[in-house]
Amino acid sequence: MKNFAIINLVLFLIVSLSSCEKILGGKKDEQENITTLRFIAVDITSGVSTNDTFEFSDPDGPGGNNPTHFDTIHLEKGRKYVVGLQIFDESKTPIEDMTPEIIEEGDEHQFFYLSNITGFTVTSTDKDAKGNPIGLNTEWNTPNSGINGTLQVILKHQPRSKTTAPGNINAGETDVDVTFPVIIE
Amino acid sequence: MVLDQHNREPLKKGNIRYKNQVYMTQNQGQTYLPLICQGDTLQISHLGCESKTEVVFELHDTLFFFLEHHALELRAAEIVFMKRNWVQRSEFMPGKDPENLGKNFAQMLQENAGASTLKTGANIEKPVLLGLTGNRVIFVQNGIRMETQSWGNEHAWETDPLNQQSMEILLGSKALWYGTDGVGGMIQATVTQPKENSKEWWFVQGQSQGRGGNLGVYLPFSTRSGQFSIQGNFKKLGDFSTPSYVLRNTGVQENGGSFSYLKEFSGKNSVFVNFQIFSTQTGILSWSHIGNLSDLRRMIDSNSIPQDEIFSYSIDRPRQTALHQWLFGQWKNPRFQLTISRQYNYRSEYDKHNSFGVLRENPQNEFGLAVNSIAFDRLKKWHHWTMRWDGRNIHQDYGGKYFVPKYTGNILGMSGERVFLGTLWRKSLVVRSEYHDYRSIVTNSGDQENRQAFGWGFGLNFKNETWRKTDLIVSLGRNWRFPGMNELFSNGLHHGTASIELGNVNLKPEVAYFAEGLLKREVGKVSFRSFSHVKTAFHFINLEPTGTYSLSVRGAFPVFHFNSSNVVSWVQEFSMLRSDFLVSNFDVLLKTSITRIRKWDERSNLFGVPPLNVQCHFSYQKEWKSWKLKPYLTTQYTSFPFWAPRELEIGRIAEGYALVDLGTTFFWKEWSGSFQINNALNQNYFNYLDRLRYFALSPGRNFSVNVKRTIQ
Repeated sequence: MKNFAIINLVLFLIVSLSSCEKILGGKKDEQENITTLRFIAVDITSGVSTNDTFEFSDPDGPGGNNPTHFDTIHLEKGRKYVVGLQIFDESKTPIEDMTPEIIEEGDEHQFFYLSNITGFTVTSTDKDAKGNPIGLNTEWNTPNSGINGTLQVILKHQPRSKTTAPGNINAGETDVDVTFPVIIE
Repeated sequence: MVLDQHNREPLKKGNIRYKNQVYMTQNQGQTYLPLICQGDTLQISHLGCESKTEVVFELHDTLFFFLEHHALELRAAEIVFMKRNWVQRSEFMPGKDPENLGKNFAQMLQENAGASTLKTGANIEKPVLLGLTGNRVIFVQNGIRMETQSWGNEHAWETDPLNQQSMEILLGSKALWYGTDGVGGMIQATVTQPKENSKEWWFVQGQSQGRGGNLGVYLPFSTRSGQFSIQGNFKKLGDFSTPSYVLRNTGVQENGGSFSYLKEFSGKNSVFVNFQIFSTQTGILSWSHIGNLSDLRRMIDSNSIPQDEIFSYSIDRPRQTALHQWLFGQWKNPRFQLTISRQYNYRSEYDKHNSFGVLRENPQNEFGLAVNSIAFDRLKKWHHWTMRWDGRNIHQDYGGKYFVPKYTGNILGMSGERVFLGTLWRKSLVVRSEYHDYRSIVTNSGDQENRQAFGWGFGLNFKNETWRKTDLIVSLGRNWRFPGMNELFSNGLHHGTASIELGNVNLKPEVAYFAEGLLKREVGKVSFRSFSHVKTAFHFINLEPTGTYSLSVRGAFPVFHFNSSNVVSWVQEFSMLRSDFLVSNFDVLLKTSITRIRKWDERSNLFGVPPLNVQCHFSYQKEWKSWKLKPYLTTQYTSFPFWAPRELEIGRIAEGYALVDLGTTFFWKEWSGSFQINNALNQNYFNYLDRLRYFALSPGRNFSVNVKRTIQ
């Protein structure tokens, strides 16, 4: 009987002590997630630099809480805008600017812009190392009449399938897919 | 009488050789020998069993001989049968059945027991019993509950089948012994114990699907200090294929190992220690991590399955890895059994793309689950009752999204069984009560909350074996199931399903009342079995679409939520076995099963219930010199899911299909093995229960061969 008691005591100790160990390996939360898009649009038609900022922000990612910012893009008719897009991870403290990561992996990423507004065009002005568009920097031309519609912004990750301009929107995985309401007046 | 060593079932057509004469056993395992004397030698053999030579030491009217049955016949065996007082569907031995070597749990259950499987990947399958799956099917290993079913459908089971000596599917009240929540039933696995007569074996298995296979070895040692064994298994498969195209990134790699120690003392005392480690890396079909709803719809609508994928062994993103460890100790004697164990489970998920730079190799989701268990079984009856007390201490952690929240739980349970003997009916009663205490549950808002609940269940069984060649079991019972933590608090994006799953903090515990009956009758060489199960469940928890979408930076995703409703379910199974059909040793088994689960509040059917299935199995046994062969042919028809709510289906619509499997098992001296062809006609088909692969067909023809050598 002494043997049983010793064996069970040993097993009990193993079980008890092992319950103190860490359950996860410590890699949790070591992620970078795109949570925020911020457009900074500069009207260059009149030669007067007027900045407008439009933002979509969902700091806790898909699921969870609703987006904290979801702006409508207000533009003026018959204008040309130079637009810069910044990408952030707001789930981190401090907030992390992920735009440089996109630029660094530019040959695997491309932004696509789709709009249902006739006469509204978006043209990429930046290039990756292979000379293909990335789409962080763009030029927007608005139509001459006021109109409402949408602008869909899609970021595709295309590690092996990125093609020359204008690119293939059907290839790769979607990292960003946000449809902004647009009012041109 | 010749009986199966494991389940004491009679073995018919066994041979007893005595003084150069061979006597064959009848249906009840019995045969009649002429006058034998003390000291005479008998040689007992049975197809699928290891032969045995016995010396008659004492003379009795009836002599019992036990053979270790290789379950060669179980494939063709009954769809349901009886064990003690329970309704049992099937029992088989993963490490010994030649046709099972190299298969995962769910594949074995499906092919051997008539159960269905819910498939969330080429190598991720879960058993479906009575139309139910997940944490409604309890998985018990050596009397200890295994816990990872709380991780949802994307998680396969956490143990290596080769560690198991036997597995049983038990329905109804037997599951209550281990938990009140076995609404669908339970699967009971028994770990192989090293014995003095344990034999070393190794096996190799190969298959055409995945162009890979398994290697396994079992090494027992016997010393003065006790019996030891070491077991190891390695499995590697590449991409699976449909008849038309390669399912890219559906490979799997598994490594498993175990160590066992058994020490038997005087007075039938014994100590058994077992340690298992099992790790898997599973590829997820590359088209299934498609980003968002738009991508999913685009893939489905375009009907453009990439036909030019090339076979590969590489397991790329998306994939999941899992690690399971299990430490187990048991002290057993005729009066009681004390068991303690610790499980540690870890799973990580890797999306196709998410992070950038050096962090991109980190997983997007992590789950950690540690469970400490203790159980005390009082085997000696106390006022006619057999008793069990058990406790589980659970620690759950996560990283990433909130599929399962972080929490600590303690579950205490007590079970009792009493058997009432009678002349006509043998009755038994099982009762169980549980107390659940969950603390420090981290909710989505970051707050912490606690939950406590008390529940109970019972099962009442009536068994009659007194009618001539007719057996009947009737069971009535009650189940109680506390909602899973994911059902209460889940709130995240499932990339595979491109959907958001929302928990419901207002869910109440499920309460189900069931009645089931099994009737078995033999008429000459024909045996019939009919199994009926009816259940009504209150607050039945189900994942349903809300009809809304959730906006995120990755697009809009459909939202599913856990909802509860009152349901009624009905299962009907029927089997008929004809032995010696046309010629001796040629058996024909016909079996069919149908399940329906209906929400009686909303007058609609439940999604994901197995459709009608009809199987016809032909087998023939032949012994020739040292060879024992059993060729078989199975045809299986699965109907389209005519009771399924079709409006909830997205993607490919499941149709009815027929499949043909054929093969043979063999025994030759110390060698055994099998050759099998599944989906022999290379049929294009889509299984209704193949979830998440909305647009891909199920795998095509598979050639499989395995050889095992048992070293004497």
